[in-house]
Amino acid sequence: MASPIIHIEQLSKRFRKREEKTGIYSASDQYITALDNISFDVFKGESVGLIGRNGSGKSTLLKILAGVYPPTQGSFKVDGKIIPLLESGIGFHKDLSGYDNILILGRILGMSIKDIRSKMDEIVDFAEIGDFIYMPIKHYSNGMVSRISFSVVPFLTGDILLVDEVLAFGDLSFQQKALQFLKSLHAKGKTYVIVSHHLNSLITLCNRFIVLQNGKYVSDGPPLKILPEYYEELLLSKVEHRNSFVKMDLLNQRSIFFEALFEMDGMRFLEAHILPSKSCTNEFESNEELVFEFVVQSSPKHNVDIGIIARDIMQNLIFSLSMGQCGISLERAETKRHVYLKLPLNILNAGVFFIHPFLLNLKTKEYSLSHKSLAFRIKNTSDFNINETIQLISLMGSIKVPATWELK
Amino acid sequence: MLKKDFWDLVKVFVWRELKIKYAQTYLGIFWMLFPPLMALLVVSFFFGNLMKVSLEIPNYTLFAYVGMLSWFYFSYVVSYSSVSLLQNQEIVQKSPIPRIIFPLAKAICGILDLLIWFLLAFLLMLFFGLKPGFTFLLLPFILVLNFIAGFSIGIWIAAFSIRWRDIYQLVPYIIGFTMLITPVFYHANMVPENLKIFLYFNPIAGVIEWYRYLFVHTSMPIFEFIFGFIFSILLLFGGIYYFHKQESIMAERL
Repeated sequence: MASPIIHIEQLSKRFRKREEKTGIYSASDQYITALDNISFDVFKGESVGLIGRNGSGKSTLLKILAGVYPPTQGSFKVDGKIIPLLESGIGFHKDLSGYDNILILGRILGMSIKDIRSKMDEIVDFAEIGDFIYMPIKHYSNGMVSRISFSVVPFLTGDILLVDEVLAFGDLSFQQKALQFLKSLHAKGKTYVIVSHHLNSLITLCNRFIVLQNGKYVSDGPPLKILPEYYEELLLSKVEHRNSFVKMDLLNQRSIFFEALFEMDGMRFLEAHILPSKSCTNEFESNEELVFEFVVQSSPKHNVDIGIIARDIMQNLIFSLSMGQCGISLERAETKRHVYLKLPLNILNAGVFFIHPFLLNLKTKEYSLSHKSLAFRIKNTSDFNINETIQLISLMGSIKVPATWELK
Repeated sequence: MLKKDFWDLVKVFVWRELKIKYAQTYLGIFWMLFPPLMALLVVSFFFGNLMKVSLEIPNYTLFAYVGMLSWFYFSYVVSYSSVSLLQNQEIVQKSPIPRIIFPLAKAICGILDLLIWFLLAFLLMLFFGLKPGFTFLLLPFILVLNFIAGFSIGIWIAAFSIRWRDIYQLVPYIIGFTMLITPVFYHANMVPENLKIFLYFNPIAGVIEWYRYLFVHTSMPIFEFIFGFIFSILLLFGGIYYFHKQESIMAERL
């Protein structure tokens, strides 16, 4: 096997805690561990997406690879020229024109002055700036500044591109241009490591995801395998979701999720529950039927409908239902009403789903959607191994459709 | 980093400094004429008439002007080099380019201002009927010594300031005090013999006397100058070494 283009061995980085103290400055004895014993290799031609929560060490890792500061422990080796895109518009000064700033930026990123001047027309073209290029950038919009700072990139030469979240800007067509350029880099066999929170873009750009959590190297693999796990960890560890998995009111045999949640036009949404399965968890088999219980309280004025939307792990909206569709209406009454929804799980594939209740004003068509949700998992009971069927998972979708095939 | 890349970067940063300094001004680089002209005015009308009699220095105007020229560049390099890292901290924190580029670019920028000072000095020479001799071939070397005097101190302060930003508060006083013990307006020979040695430890003292040898034909300060020169070289290498050692933590601690 060829030697890696980036080799990281037991890399750790600690920072001293900086405390704001007036008077005698004393460096704190406490340390923040930004990176904790990271080891992995990147090979030539790989397109890596480095993901993780805020503060998980991604930027720190890129900065160390770029040479901004050294690691506290461990080592790394890079076999090629690095282009460090760690900030949008390094070296920019607001009083200088776009032209001048591009010159400076290009030089900082490694282009020779001669090259920049000769390619300036193409760069300005890419940025879609036009005559504004001679104006001081303090008159530019944020989008324009971001565009000129990125437009130098296609004209740089190097082997490894390190990108720290400088992808998210410009209108759709410019974003497409930027993504197109990155894909062309991949086609040319260049290597890049991208840190971004635009996970949907990263899926198309990267053939490998590496997840960092609290400075530790946590998982590594193809995007479609890593992403669902990552989303689960991200979303389900938030308090309200965890409650729905963990906290059970065993006395009442109910998993109480949230109370006094939201109201709309006098209709108050009080509680939402999943009525428990035999195992008292939120994991179900696909042959089960879930019953949701919603407790609402209405005031006599308005006519309001209640419903739910269902989202998959990637937060795509899969379907929505409302009680009004069944012809039942909540009559105006002061009392608490209990609404039940029976949902057969055999229409869904295995995975994690989120149910968000909403209230809909039937007259004005306004709705109020709960940001909290009930989360449940449908267990994977099929007989194929998840590792063998990475490709299939990308094709499977969330819904089981009862259609039939026939061959003549 | 390749040598060519390095100097290319320095070139860009010098150019950047100039552009920023004179952005949106009407007179632009013509403002470079202002400091030497002001210095000349002060020296000729003010000091010249007051001091000339008591100090009995021939060509006092040019004498003092040359002192101010050297002092201008020295204090420029010290004050701008020392803050160059702080000023460019965004670049330091997000880019791996060698940090020495920042004080270096500032110092080189100062040379351009200095050239205007020199121009005026030459004009003064002609005006006063003084002829430049072959000794003027030494001028580039003295310029380099002038640079080293300021740069060596500047990078010490810059590197120190990473851990101890307080030092910036001291810089104006350091410069002010040094000016008093530097023979800008007077000749080193006017200092009592036993103290003259200490005067020459000041790197810029020897440099100023050399400039004056070239422009106003005062004596060549060969032996006395050696102290300051050695001190300056030691400061320079020590400074570069210390700066280099601090370089790795600059991005974190700035």
